[in-house]
Amino acid sequence: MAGLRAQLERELGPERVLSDALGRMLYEYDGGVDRALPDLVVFPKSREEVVAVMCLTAAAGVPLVARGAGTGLSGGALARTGGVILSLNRMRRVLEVDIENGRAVVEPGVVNLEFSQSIAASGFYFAPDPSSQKACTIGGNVAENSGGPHTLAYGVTVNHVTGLEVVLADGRVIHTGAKALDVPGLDLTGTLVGSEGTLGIATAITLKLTRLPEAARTLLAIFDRVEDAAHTVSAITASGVTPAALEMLDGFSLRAVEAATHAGYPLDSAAVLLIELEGLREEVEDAATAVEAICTTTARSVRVAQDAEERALLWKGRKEAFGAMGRISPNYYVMDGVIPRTRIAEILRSIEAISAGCGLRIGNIFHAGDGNLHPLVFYDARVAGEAERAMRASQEIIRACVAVGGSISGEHGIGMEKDCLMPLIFTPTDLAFMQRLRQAFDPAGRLNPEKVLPSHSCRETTGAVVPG
Amino acid sequence: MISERQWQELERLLEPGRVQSGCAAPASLDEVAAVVRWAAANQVQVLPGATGDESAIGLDMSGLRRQRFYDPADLTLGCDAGVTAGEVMEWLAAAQQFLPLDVGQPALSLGAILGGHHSGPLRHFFGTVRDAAIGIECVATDGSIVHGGGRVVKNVAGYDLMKLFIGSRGSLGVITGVNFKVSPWPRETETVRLRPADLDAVERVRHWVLHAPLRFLCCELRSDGIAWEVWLRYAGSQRVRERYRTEIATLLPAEPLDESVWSATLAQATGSRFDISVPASAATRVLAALPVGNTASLAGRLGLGVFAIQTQTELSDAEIETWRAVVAEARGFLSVRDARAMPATVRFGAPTHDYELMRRVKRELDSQAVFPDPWGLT
Repeated sequence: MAGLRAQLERELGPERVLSDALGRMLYEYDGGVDRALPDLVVFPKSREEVVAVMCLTAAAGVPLVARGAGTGLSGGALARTGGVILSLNRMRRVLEVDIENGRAVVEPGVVNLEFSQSIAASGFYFAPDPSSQKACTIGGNVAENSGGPHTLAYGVTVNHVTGLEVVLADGRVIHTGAKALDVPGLDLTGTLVGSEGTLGIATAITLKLTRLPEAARTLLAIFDRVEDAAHTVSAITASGVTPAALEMLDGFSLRAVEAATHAGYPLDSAAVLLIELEGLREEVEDAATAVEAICTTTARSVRVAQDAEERALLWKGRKEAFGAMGRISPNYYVMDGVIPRTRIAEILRSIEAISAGCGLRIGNIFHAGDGNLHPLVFYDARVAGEAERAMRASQEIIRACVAVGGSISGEHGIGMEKDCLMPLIFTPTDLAFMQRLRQAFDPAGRLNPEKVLPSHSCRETTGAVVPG
Repeated sequence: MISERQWQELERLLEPGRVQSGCAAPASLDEVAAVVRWAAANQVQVLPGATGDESAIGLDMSGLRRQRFYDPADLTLGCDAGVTAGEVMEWLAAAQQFLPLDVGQPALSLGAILGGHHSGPLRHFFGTVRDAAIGIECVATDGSIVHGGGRVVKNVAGYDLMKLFIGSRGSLGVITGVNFKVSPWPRETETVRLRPADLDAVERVRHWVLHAPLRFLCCELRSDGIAWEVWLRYAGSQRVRERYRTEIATLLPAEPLDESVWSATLAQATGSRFDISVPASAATRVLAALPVGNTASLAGRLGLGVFAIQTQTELSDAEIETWRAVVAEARGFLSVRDARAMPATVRFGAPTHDYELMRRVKRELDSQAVFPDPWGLT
């Protein structure tokens, strides 16, 4: 590693190669619970420097892990097997904004919300809005195929990327897709988005821009029973109205959120639905009337945000919800299961039972509109055994999601957190096929190894078959 | 050349009568897998959805035609790949739901639509089947059955095999099943026709649609080779539609069209058929530069820069290259849909930047070389 470090320092300059133990510790974790210390962290500023790092690490046979802002929740940006972390947040130029074609080209380190704000005056924005969008990078969004609350109406990151410049594991640079649609050949752009840095590293991303809506309206439906909120989600989904966002917080969670953010959530409710409608003024009014009518069949009340300020406050509560959980518990573990929307009530009952069984509190804050749950299992790592109980409870929740036809990750990615759970939803044949796909891109398996597909540690812990 | 012995071996793998005239028509997923394994063992190519010849076996998927599940309340649907677009739309219409399968051919199978990544006017707002597919099942080169995605509308587990297989033209495997997220169909829709005088006026319409707060379901450019029309489709309550009419009237006079226009099949001619995609703002410039004197019809998504052009007479390879040069200058792409055989470079253009990587993917995933190679990757 000393030799590689010297080469990297010659290439990037010593100030952009981090090797001291204290500095590396900052890159030992992301937003989740996993830890893995890298051997080196490098900070390229250009595609050429990424290529150089790729070639040097390839020659040394050292793993390479791309990292954006480190806001991920599945350990995707951690150096699980050591090696070099390629921190891309100094590549943060907006290379082109082409409003007439609804496109922009950005470097991977561009921050999601900052980019949208920078072009807002044009009437357009980048639609994917993860809750971490104030900090997360577009490169990270591409790696994880990020979603967010507005996924319901606008889709996930892959629906908003039309092209990539990618550095492959052997250092070659390719371009997939384009500004134009329907590029001949295989859809490598769609294959790369969401591949969690295991197939290649994007150094420029062609985004599809979305027109800002003329009007938006935010409603807060307040329920005395969690089941009523869950059934209302199904009712709205089935009604033909497609909200831009449909979020749910249970009473336990919203009380913590309210104490931290003063968003105006009612402290005595069992659950709230935060519903956003967007579109033409007249469309929004029609949709709001319809949604209110659906909600009021079982809701205690429905509040409509009166102005932009109130709307922003209600959303602040939701977007900063995870951060607010520190008031409840020194630690929490958040899962990312997905279920059919018609099974929300059933799953929430299961989660309640799991909570009772493990003796740990579990809050629910989630993208109810697309069935993407985020149960937060609260624990105190200082208490012997609680962390393990929290992990077991989380896995039980995921298994419950799969049992009702769901999946193990809606938006956080598999990373190193859930690789051992992949056999819950994919057969050994499926996983072997995905491994062959990975080999086509990275025969040496050097890019973000032991992620996404079951790693060797899974064989020891769960008996999962390591593909390939 | 497939020998008599090999044909007999294939016949024994399927139900009686399912192998005829160079084509196998499996009745089940297991039979599809058996055909592919047979093809791999005998070094025969499998052509999903196509007719075979003396050295390749066509695969007729119409025997796999089940609806696997449909949950209208969750807006999800799963089907066999042999189900047709028309069948799907009929199932969904009963619950006022739909998929963007408006490709103008209701008898076309899902497998064909997915394999070719076909789309229609609703792409303007709803995207394509690539955006709607949430799960996929395929038979791979060794006859194994592979799955990607699942049954839920949001899912990032594993590699996105839906994106890989959709549009792959059968080159990586046989698509045997697909799950979709479906959309609610608006209760009231309306369509109007504008008649821009020339391509400059067409461009003004495109620019206006881009920047207007209105959300059109369709923004369709049509031409019979002589005149231009733009069809705008929108939805909503009476007052929403009134808003659209008022705003459109500031642009150009608009005549109402019956909604049935969207079901009409495009005029067929005997010439060449092209698919062109360009950055949207370059569309009218490209259309102005194309030698379109013998255009029979043009239909496309004006807001997306995606068009299908049918000519009266078949163009030569040299003429195709002239068209392609115009499109390429605008950083677009041109593909030819003619049935006649032609090199991949004529049909699709010169290899793009990522062909070497596609080649590696093709070789890795079709290690038995069972499936077609439309882009000449191998």
